[in-house]
Amino acid sequence: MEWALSVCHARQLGRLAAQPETFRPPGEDGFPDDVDFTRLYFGQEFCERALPRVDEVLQAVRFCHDTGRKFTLITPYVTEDGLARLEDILESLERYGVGGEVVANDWGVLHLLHDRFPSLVPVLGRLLNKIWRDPRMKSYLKDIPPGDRDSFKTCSLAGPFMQDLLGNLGVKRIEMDNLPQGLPGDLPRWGYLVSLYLPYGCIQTGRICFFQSWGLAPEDKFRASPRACPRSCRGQWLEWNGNSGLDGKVLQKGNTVFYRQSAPWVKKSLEEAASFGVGRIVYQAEPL
Amino acid sequence: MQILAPAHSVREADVLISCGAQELYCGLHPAAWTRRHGKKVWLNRRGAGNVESFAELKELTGVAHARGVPVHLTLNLPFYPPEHYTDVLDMAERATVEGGVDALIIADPGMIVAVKRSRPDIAVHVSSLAAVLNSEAVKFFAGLGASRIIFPRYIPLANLRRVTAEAGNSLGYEVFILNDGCMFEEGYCHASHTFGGAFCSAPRNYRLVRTPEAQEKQESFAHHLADYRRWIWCVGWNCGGLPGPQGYPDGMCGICALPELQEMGVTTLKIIGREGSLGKKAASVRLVRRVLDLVESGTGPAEVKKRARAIRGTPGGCDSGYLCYFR
Repeated sequence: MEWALSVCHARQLGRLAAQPETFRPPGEDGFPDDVDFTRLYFGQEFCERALPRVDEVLQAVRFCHDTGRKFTLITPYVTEDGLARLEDILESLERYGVGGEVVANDWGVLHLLHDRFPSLVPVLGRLLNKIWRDPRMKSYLKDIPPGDRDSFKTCSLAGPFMQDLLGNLGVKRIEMDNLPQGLPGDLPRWGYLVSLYLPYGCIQTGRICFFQSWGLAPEDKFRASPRACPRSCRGQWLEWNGNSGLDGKVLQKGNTVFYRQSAPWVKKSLEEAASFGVGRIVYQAEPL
Repeated sequence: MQILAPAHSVREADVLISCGAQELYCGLHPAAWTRRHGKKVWLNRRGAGNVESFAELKELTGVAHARGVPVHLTLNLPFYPPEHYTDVLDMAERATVEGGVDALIIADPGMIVAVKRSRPDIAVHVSSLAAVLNSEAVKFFAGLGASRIIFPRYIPLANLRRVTAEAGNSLGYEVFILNDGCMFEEGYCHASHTFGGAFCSAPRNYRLVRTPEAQEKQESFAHHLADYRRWIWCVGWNCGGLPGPQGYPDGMCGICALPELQEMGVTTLKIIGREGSLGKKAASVRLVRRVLDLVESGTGPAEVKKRARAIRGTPGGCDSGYLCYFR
């Protein structure tokens, strides 16, 4: 099993170099003690306002080079503003011959990678993997006939039309959240390399941000327009009550709502991951 | 620009066209689907407000076509499981051939590919659920054979202008113009109303968890949370779904942006709310029609904005900005 560490802020790179033990997944959260991260995921999945600068991406690339790790750039969904910033990053990766993977969470970004950046390896991000991750799913499925329940664990990625489409776009790897209703039993037959994200799964995300708005005049709050962001999402989040039987917590960090899986759930998932065809675990100490 | 309205019966179609709708859309949930998959497996994003048979669909499109109005069908789940593809494709075929619909509204790229392979002549509109936020995404879906893009909510006008300018005018562009918000990006929501209504806006307590890294704020958490709840009331609960003082819907809105939308090449204005009452749908169409008439008569953008606010009659809501799709 390959282990990747996902880091979303450049300021964490220094700490990663100086105190790597602080990024070790906690055993009490269900992770093994001997994790060896051979790959670094760097970037933002959820927020174009928090896209790293080009020099920060190159800093992450240098870190990987210096420590013998492989590099994956992770990217968010983007408006036209974010797309322009992302193009600058991708151009610099190509200019310096960095290669490596780019995780796309936007159909436009995937299209851009295929059209303009053939040296970069496209990966289908977990936000383009549309399987339901609704915390209420478990209780809902109790009323569904057993024969129909599998349709709630799968999505179009398992079918030939999407497989053809992704093949044409050069996608061989897909990223997955650890589903409240369980991973699909036929995942090994979908025909992709599979990464599994732990311990946070994404329920919903959007361009309007509770934390970015905090402190603004009421009429300026809750706007989708990209504008200066004080990064108030760092170091704080909202916990939601009423999780409808979910084995974990629901929390809102920045512009995104996550479920954080319990230690027993993480432990069991790790034990079963290989049998589902998962070849890579992406660990996030913090999701955003 | 054309006004697109939701309808789920012949009567609705007739009334809405009379009010000024120039295109209609509907969902379909035929008995055969329910028999095969049960009531809890939805065929589109809504379990209610659907046409319930191909015969009804044919009747609806017949009435609409007789008045020169096309009808589009939503097949807009963010994805379909592979085992449902055959049934959905069969239904798409019947809806177009037998039911007479003019276009399919689809979000799942795999389903677009499947539809286009089996019937290249069927027009496909890319649902807002596909989250087309940028010009590269427009090009991606154009490459799959789509003829129209339905943009998600909350794309600022300046951004939208750049997307349409960059992507060109070979496609139709549709935007939401009235009714219903979403707290998050609809196309990046992995919860479903199927499982018990909107997960995001359900009443709940929020507990703030802070670490030493957290920034201090001048504004208290309680104060900001109160604003957040007000905003949720607008976008998540559509201001309770009640009419405003002029009888028009008092919810999410983009009517004062019509001049800019027209100028940047938007072709269609979508009124949301398939499950809404006919009275609300009709009032919605009349409201958009009144403002569009101003635009089409050459009224300048500033005057349109002023008069749109007056027609709507909710200056407090307009001033808050929380009702606005395009701020």
